[in-house]
Amino acid sequence: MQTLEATISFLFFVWAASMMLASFEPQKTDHSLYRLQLVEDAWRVLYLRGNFEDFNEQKEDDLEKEFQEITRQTSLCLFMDGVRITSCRGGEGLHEITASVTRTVIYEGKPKTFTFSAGTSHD
Amino acid sequence: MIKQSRYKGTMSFDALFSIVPIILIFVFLMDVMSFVGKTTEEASRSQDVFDRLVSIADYSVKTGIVKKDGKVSYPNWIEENMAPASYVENLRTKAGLSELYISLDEPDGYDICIYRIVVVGEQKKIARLFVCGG
Repeated sequence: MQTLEATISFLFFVWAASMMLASFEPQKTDHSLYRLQLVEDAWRVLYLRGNFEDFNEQKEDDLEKEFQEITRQTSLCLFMDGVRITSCRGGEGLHEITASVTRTVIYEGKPKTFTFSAGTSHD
Repeated sequence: MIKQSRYKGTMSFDALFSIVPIILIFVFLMDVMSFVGKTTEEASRSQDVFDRLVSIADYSVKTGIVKKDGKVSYPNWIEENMAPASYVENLRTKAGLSELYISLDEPDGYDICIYRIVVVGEQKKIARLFVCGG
């Protein structure tokens, strides 16, 4: 009888200890600020390369090529709402948005606000 | 004459056997506590180094090594060979890091490495500026 009690107690202890260890998750590194900086970098780089000078519908193809170059180097999938320009695979948008910024540029002679996002693309 | 219990030997034997699992459980719990403490400490240190690298990278692409034209500076626009050893060493000392790497070339062998997107030179070629350390 005592052996049975001891065995049950031991099994319960092993189960409780396993559950305790399984539920323990170490703190993950917070990348939120860094992700935002990367999106701002991408926007800034596109701006420095003159993509938003006299920005209009004819320049959208060139901008998409620039998106693809950034994606090739960084694996970041870029998406610009308002003109529907993207370097995300399949062109269907982002699988997971990691960060977004809103910027106003002169588009076809008028100020227009765009949401510029980065994330991971659909596979 | 002192009377001795006839059960004394049995009780000592019983106590001896109950101490063994108590010690085993105690050792196990100490191991678990040590594991949890070590993992938490590593995660905390990793976050600390990561935050320092993020700060260094941000400073570098906004002020430290950017192209300057008189009083005007251009964030995210850097020259080639823009981070001399003295600049890197100065930042490493101020940040309290044991090692620091800043370059356009992707390095090997660093625990924590981040990059920032920049343009380089007069041609404004898109590149990554790597900031790594530990």
